Amino acid sequence: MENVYEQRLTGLYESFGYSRFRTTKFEPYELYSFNRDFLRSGRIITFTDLDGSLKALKPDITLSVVKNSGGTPGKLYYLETVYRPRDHRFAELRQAGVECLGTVDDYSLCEVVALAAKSLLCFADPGRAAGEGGSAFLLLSDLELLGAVFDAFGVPDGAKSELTALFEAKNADGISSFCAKYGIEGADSLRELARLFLPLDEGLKRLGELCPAAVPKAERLRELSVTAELFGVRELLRLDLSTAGNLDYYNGLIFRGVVAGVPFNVLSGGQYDLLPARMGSPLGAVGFAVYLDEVENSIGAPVNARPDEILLYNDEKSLKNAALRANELRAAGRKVLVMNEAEYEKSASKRR
Amino acid sequence: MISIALPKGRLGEKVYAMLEAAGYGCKDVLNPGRRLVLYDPETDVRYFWVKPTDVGIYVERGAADVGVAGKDILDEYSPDVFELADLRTGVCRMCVCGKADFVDPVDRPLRIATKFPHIARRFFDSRGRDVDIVKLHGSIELAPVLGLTDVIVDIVETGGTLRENDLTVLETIGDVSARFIANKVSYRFKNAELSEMARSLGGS
Repeated sequence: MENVYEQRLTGLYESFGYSRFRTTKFEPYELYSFNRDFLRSGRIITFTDLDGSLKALKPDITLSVVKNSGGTPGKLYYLETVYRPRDHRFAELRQAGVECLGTVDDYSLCEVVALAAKSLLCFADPGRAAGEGGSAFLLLSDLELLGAVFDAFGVPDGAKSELTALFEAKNADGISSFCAKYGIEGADSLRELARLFLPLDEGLKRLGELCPAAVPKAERLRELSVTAELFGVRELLRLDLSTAGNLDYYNGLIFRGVVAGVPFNVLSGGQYDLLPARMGSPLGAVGFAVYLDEVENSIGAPVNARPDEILLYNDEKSLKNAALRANELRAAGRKVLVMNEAEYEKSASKRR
Repeated sequence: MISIALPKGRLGEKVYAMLEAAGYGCKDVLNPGRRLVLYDPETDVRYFWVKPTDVGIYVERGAADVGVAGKDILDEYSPDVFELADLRTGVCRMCVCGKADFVDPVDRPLRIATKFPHIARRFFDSRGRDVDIVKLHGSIELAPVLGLTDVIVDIVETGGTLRENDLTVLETIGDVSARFIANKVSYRFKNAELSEMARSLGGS
C-alpha cells in the first residue's frame, strides 16, 4: 500500500499526464552488465532462473523504462522497489521517478525540472516557505557549462576529473593547490565558482562575471530560469556547480534535490541522451529519481492508515451495535476500526 | 543553531581555540565533565567530542552540521561531505616508510602494514604494484622491524619514532592537515552561517 508521500507523488505526476510504468522485479542480467557505467553501483543481486538464464533483481528502473520504450516517445513515472548496496549490505529501497523520452526541448526540460522541484515539496514542511532559508532546494548544474568553464581556464583534459572532484567537495583550498600544480591562472574565480550556491538568476549573473567565455553554454539554464516562473518553482532553483554526478550517464542539464531535515540528496536527475543512444534508440531523455527511503529514514512518512473512528465492544450486544454502526460509517467513506475493548486498552497502553 | 563535531584530543582542543577566537565559543567545552553535548545559547552553537575517525560519519549523516577531521581520515573513509577549509594545523605527511636499506621485492607482492588500507591500496594501485596489505591498529613501526611486512604506510610528523626504530621515509604519499568539513545539505540550508564560519577559520 502506498504511503502519503507516494500518493502525493503519484497524484503530482498524473496531474501532468504522466503514465505509470509498472515493471517486474527481475531483468536479464546482461541489461545491467552491458550498461554498468549507467548504474549508481555496479553491484547487483543475481540468480539463475529455472530455465538456466541469469537474472538480476533490479538495481535501477531507468534502464527498464528506456528498454521497454522501443524507441517510442513517452512521459512516464514509476514507483518501484530497487535492490542496491547500502551500508555494505544489499537493501530493498523504495524509489519513485519520472522519465520523459523524446525530443528534449525547452518545454519538456522545464516540465521535468518543475516536477522535480514539486516532488521535493511533497516532503517539505509546509510550515517553512520554499526558497531562501526554506524547506527545499533544487540544485542545478550543466555538464556542458562545466566543461566550458574548465576549458576557459585551460584545465588539461587529463586533470578535469581531478578538478570535478574538488568542485564536488567545494574544496576551495584544494582548487588553489590544483591551480598551482598545473600552472592555471584565475584560482580565485575557480574557487568562487565551486562555492556558488545562489538563486538561478543571480548565479548565472555571477557566472557571467567570473567566466564570460562559458556564458554561451549557460543558455539552457537561462531559458530554464525564465520558464520555471510558469510552473511556480523558480524560488526553489539554485545554481550549484558542485552538482557533477555520474559523467558517463548525463550529458547536459543535471540536478539534485535537498529537503530540510534529510541529510542526503533525496532526488537526482538530468538529461541522459547517451543511454537511449547506446540502446539504438533515436530518443532524447530527461528524468529523475526520488529516494523515498532517504526521506522516510530521516523524517518518516505521515501516517495515513489511522482510522477515523474506533468502535469498541465488550459483549454480544455491543458487538452487534458496533458492527452495524461500522457498516454505516464505512458506507459514508469513514475508516473504522472495530475491536474488543479490553484488547484495545492493552494495545493502546503498549503504544503509549 | 550550528552543531559542531570536534575530534577528541590535542587537535580538537587546538581547533576549538580557533573557533573560540572566531566568535564561536561555548562555555565548558574544554571541561565537559560527563556531559556529552554542550550548547551555548549566546553563540547558538552546540559542540560534541567524538572519536577522530567518527567525525566524518557524524557530519555526513547530518548529526553535526560541520566538523573537523584530518585529511588522512577523509582520504581513508571518503565521507560524502564538503571540505570547506584547510585549517593548516595538525600538519604531517602520509608516507611509505621502511628500513634505510629497503629494496623493493619486485618478484612478489609488496607487504604493507598500515592503519590506512584504502589510502595504501589507492596509492599502489595507481602504480600497478601488487600489494599485500596487513591492517594493524597501532605500533605500526613494529611490523617491518619484526619482518611482518616490508614497509608501512603511516602518518609522519617529526620522524622521531621512525629514527628510533631504524626506519626512514621512503616516499611521501601526500600532505595531511586538519580540514573544516560540512554536511552537504546543512551547507545549503545554513549557507550564510557556515560560509562565514569557514571564512573566519581561514578558508580561501
